[in-house]
Amino acid sequence: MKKLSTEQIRTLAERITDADRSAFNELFRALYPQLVYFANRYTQSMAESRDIVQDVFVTLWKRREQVDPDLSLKSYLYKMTRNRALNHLRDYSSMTVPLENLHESKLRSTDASSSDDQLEKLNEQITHWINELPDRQRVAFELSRFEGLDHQEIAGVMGVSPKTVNNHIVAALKNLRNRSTRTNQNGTKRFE
Amino acid sequence: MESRSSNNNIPDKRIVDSFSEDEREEIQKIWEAAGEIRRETPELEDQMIERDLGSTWNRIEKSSWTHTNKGRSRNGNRRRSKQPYTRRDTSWRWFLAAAMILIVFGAGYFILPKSYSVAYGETATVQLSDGTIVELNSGTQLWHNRLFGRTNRKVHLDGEAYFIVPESDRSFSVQANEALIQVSGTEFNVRSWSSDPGQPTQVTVSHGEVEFYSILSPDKRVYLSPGESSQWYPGLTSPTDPEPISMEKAIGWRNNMLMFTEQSLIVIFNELERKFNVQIELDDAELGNRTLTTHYSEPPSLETIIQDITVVKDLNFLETPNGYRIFR
Repeated sequence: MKKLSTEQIRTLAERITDADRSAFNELFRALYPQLVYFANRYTQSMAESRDIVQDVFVTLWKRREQVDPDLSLKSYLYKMTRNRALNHLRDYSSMTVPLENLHESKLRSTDASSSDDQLEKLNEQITHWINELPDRQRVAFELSRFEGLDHQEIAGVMGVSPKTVNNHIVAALKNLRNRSTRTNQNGTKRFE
Repeated sequence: MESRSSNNNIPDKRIVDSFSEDEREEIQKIWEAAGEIRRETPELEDQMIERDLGSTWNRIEKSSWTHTNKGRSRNGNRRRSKQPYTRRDTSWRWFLAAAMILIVFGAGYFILPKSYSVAYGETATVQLSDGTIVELNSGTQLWHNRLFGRTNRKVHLDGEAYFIVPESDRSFSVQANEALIQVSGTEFNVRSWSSDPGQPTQVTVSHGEVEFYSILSPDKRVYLSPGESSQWYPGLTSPTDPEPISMEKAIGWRNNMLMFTEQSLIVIFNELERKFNVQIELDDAELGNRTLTTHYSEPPSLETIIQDITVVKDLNFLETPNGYRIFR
């Protein structure tokens, strides 16, 4: 997958505003997978996530004339994806397995086949800890760490200033570190 | 995915700078460990991406057919085969003809819709030129073009309104987001906030018959009878099957009641914001997904309501200069 620079995305945004379909295709190919992945963190369903993100791109095309190339298109897409994923959770929450349960079962199954037990355990714990972060911290952290968005872009997604984004990420890291130290001190693999 | 593995260092100096020297190594380790999780997820195959791109264009085409604004470009290739040129050319000719007529009559006036908006904290009742009476809930917008009552009987709605429509040969319709409600002579309630998550449009009928469908799939219609309710939101092909509903719950707002049945906190807080003209901040967006059922036939003070909700949902609240902040 190609990674697009901010400048490239900006150029694509301008071309998309002018109804350039090949620019739309290019943007889709570059950002679709990571947006699906991002939605999947909420919905826990690849099929639903693909549906959501396709919908996001449909909206982008329909609103292309209103897209402001000076604002980050990437933030805009992430924001829409997040909103829709959350809406989806709201509408179908009764059908969705709670996040924690899902992680446990998924991780247990990987446990059996693991070659590096210790690393697995660390991953398992960190996944759990990240899921338990306060929402704002978690979102900022995930967008930074997993999606590779910069502070400015995350700020666009979350509707806060880059400085606040930094605070959230730092708080998240502190949180994770505290839990990690506490676990090490107790010498237990489970926490709380 | 080279982009992932190569950036194992904390990308932003601002993050690193927020930690003391001896903390940094540990933080870096956590950063790296967290990166491992991301790598475990399966990749989407190129083939799949291409297929989804195709289906995205299909969706765009499907929806643009029903929109009046058919902005089209020449450099498209995928959809040309599906839409014959003659058809597209015709629509342009019609558009041009219509534009000419508009210019000739200097009819800018007719393009500007007439709109009614209700401030937060207030409700309003308006009578339209065809005799229809509309009661509008706080924060609602209603608009129609100037030919309403002459060439059409269509209004647009963002919000919640109760319609009392007199009988006529021509049908009366309400477009709410992408949902369409068509009636002859009836009384019914429409709730469709574009600000609510999922943008559901709910229709409840008290008298007469109502036809309800999404403009995206006009062939999938639901017919509602008195006492029934149905909803549609983007993503559904057809509105939900009609279900009996307590009228008091559906239109209690007209009598200043607050009725929430299995509603998410986001929707409830949106409603309270409009009704009481305040801002309610949620510290944690995910809290908004929790649902609650609560009824007030005589609403007490907003503070009492907030207190009730937070107690039931095991949350805390603080008063802010213009409302409340809710947190865990």
